[in-house]
Amino acid sequence: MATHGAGPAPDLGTDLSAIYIRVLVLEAVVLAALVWLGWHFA
Amino acid sequence: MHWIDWSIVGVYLTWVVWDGVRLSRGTDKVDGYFLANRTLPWWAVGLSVMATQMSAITLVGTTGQGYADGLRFVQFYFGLPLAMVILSVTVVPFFHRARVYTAYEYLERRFGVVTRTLTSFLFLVSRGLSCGVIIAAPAVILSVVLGWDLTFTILAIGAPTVVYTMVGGVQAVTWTDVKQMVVIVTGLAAAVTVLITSLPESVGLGSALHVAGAVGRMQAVDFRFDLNETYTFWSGMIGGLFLALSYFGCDQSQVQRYLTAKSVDEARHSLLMSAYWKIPLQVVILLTGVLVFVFFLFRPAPMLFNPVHAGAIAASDRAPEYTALDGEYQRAFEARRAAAEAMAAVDAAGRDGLRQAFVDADTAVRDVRGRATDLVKAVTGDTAYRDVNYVFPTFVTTFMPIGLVGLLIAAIFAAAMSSIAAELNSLATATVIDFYRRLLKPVATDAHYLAVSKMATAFWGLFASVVAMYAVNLGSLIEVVNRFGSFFYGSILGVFVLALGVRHANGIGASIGLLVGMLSVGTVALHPATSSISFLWHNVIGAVVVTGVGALVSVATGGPRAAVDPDR
Repeated sequence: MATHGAGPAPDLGTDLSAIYIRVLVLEAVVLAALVWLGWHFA
Repeated sequence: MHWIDWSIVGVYLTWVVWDGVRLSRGTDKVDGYFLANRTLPWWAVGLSVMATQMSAITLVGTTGQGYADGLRFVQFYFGLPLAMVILSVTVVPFFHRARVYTAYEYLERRFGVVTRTLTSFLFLVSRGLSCGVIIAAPAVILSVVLGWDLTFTILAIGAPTVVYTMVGGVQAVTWTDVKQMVVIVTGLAAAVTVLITSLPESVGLGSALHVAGAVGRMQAVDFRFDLNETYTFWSGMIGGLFLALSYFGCDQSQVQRYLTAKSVDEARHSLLMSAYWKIPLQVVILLTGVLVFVFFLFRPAPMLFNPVHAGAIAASDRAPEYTALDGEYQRAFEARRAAAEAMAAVDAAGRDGLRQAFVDADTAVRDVRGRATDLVKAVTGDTAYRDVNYVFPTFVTTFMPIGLVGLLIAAIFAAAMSSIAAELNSLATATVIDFYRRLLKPVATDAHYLAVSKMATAFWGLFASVVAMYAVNLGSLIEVVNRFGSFFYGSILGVFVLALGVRHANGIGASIGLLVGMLSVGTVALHPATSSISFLWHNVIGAVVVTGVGALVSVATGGPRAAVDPDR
């Protein structure tokens, strides 16, 4: 039974499709809405 | 509680067990029991991921947080969407293609059995204890608010969950999670509706939110960079990112959810559901708390929301002090109500002139409640007492209509049970796959492993229930357990960063890095000079130290060695 070895490190690659961009854009919109809420109801 | 509400809770508990047991079809093999034969649709997995994350502590504690502190707690989740994107690109495809049962199984292929065993052991200890806390925290609150026996409440939450999780495996966990999520969201919608319709006739929703906003309840985002401030934009964005990466990428209770998905893409979509919906859902929960705050501006609210503690003080030798405080509270409360009504009755221009009077009146109420809470801690010895945890359940049981009380109590049960079920299921998986099958009995029939898996689920259910019974008597233990978990959350993330992103990393580097990372976080958390740093930054410290130390030690010890049985 091996205790300290190392298998091959994986190739990370990228798969940044439009859906990921959409997630991040949506988060930016939600953050902006939260900032507006704080400002409007201050 | 009215018999109709009792019936609703009883029907819910019966239904959830029956439904979970019914879903045990196809779980006659280990692959089906732990991974549903990798056949589940993304939306079911996605709802299960969200239900697992949302415990009863989240539901009750977060509404209390909204009541006391407004929307700012939402910043805790700011890093989550980005974390989901990163995980969708990195670990999700790796875990799926590796065909693993546990996240730690993957680490053995990369670093050897010591790293796998160490990380899996840390998971078992922290999740086993936290599972007890997840049962104990709502049980304490429900038993106080509803007048139930504490042991009965713990068993009412724990026993049905253990039964359907043990019999039905991950199929039962996932599909009951889906239905429990529906119960939770329906309950929240009912609470919000009652809160809005209960506002005084002269007070519109907009005016009510302006009043809440005057005392900071609508401030969600704080851009100050202060390491000692728990919730800021930066601690949420950076610390929250590391915490979410660790929780969703390295914690078996979440990893196992998306390992059940049909394909890599379905698993990715299940995580992205949280990326889309988690922050809006938390805003709704926090806004519910803000609306409860507004509700209790106009309706009589007790000075302390925990009647048991209030009774204990009244029976103690400090009762006169408490009576004097209560008188002071009644006067402060009436003054605040008058100030709130005045402010809600005027337009934007008029509000400015009345704002300061309301802010002062609210400060006076907070001051009296703060002194009453200190009195509770002194008299009862419950130093971890948080009165705000009792606010939402008190509102539900006192002011919600018959029928909806039962629905909300069922929703609190659902939130607790969905998290407990996923944790029991993942604890059993790590126990059987990473320890029993890997170290004790590598060769046995599938039926044997299935039987052991069910026994492991029952064992962890029993363990969590016993922990819960002790935890309720040791209030500060809950904090200790939560803190204990934060000591190595970021560190385990560091090990996965080494595995996935540092090509020359080896097992010695990963193991030493993990130990140094945990020691570093423990030192930062406990040293007087740094103990005030927000726990969200602990995840960053742990991950960075493990990655750095692990990479250096790997270089010093000769980099990668021969591969370890990649087919295991």
